[in-house]
Amino acid sequence: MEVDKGKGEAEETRKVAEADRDTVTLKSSDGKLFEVSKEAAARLSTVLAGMIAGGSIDDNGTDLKQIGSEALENVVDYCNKHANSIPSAALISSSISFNTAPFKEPEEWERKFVDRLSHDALFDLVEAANFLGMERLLDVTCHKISEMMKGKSPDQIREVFNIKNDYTKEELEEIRQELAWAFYDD
Amino acid sequence: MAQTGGEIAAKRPKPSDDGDGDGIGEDRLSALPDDVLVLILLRLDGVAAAARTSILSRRWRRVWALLPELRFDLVPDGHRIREIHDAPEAPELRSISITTEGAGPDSASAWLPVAARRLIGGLAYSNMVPGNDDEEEVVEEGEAGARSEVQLPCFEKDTVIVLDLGLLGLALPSAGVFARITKLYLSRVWFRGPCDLESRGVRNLSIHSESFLRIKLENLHLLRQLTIVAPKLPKLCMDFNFIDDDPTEPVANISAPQLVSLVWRDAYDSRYVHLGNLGRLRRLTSIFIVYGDQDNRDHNHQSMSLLQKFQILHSLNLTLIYRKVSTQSNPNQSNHFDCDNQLFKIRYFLFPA
Repeated sequence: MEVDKGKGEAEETRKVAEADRDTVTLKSSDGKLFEVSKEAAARLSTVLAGMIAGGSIDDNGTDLKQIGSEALENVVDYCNKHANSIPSAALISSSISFNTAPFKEPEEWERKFVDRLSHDALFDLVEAANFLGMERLLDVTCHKISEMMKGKSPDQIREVFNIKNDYTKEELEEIRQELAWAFYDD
Repeated sequence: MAQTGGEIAAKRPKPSDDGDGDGIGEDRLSALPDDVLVLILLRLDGVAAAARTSILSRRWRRVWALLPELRFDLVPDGHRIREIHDAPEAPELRSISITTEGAGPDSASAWLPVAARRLIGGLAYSNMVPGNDDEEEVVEEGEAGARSEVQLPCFEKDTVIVLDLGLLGLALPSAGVFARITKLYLSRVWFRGPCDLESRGVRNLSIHSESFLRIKLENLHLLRQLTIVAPKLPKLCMDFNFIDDDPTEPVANISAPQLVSLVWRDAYDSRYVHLGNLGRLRRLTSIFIVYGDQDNRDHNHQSMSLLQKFQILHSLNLTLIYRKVSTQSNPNQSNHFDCDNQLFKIRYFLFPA
């Protein structure tokens, strides 16, 4: 494996070196390998943190069968960028929040990071973030999707996301009546 | 792009031909699990926008009802809020944050009881009253009772309540109001008659009111932070809130320059208790402990220093406490005052020369 090159001395020193390695190797569903900082992976992903702590990280590439190479590349890219970014004074939303942490608005670089993604790549990344327990990345991607929904009529939302309306006319009318308050100021 | 392997990729239909490979033809959004959809809905502008997604397709029919936090900004009609909380499948709520403008008491009364049942977290309700912040006329006690008011339901599960009622009246239920509450902030609230905050769990209490005629805090044993800003308050009563075993020093900052009558049957350590300017005070009630150990002497010393703050009083009530002497004398006995301690009251009327 290319990521292991240069570590081929005595078994003992190799073991020590591995324990001290500050990266982990992840393998996508299509067999591509990616390296990511151990610290960032553990900090940003509860699943990877658990695997690192539990010793189930494979040096030849930990299999992530649910994640394609494009999405995994984005995940790793995000982790690296996150590790290098200086956290700005957090833009905490002004709404009163109690038990839950208040939403943090995405930072500028996070916006750019998701803005450049294609529709499919965005959803691949949401699924990967959800699978890996990456709360922050999930926030950022969900924020992006919510922006794509905001200010749009139901018809427009269906169009953007290709949602098939499987209601009957009667059912639609029933919902509109039941939730009249929500459609009040339409 | 390579869509290779992976369960997620495999269970989706292949991209159709009618697009440029940018997801046209596939409904990726509806395929996401509920908890991710909830994260997305939480970021829309308010509950109504989230509820409107229910007409997208059957998949979306009940997703909005899973929202754990509800936020209503400037809703004109409390009944609309109530419908939301009444949704039968609605889960417990972590928080409700509601802002109204110039709402009457009926509005809040319509949704507060339902909110109280579903909430396990915090409630913030702010009723904004345009251009009516401090021009409030002084109302006599009798008139205050005639005001229409919000009936506060029992919040059995909440931990934080923030109420800014924009000078609406508030009526508290008799008992068990705030079983688990740790923080209570009341602002611009009219209380009908005496205010008895029946909660043993309040640690942090903050009252800001132009209108209070009487505040009485009794047996709030966990209270450690008290702020009262009440520019027109004439009567304040503190009974046995700060006297207990908790080693944390209670901190009180009280600003009530119009105070005429003060009942302070409580610990008074001038390092932590700041009573502000009490130049108009005429009636004072305090306690002394009759027999006892060093703790009691410390307490009496504190009471004495409270008394010494005042040069002229028309009436001084001293409550003498005879503590029950336990047959099993315990040197570490709780310094906790209960009502069954024998109280002995002495009343002095002082007439200025």
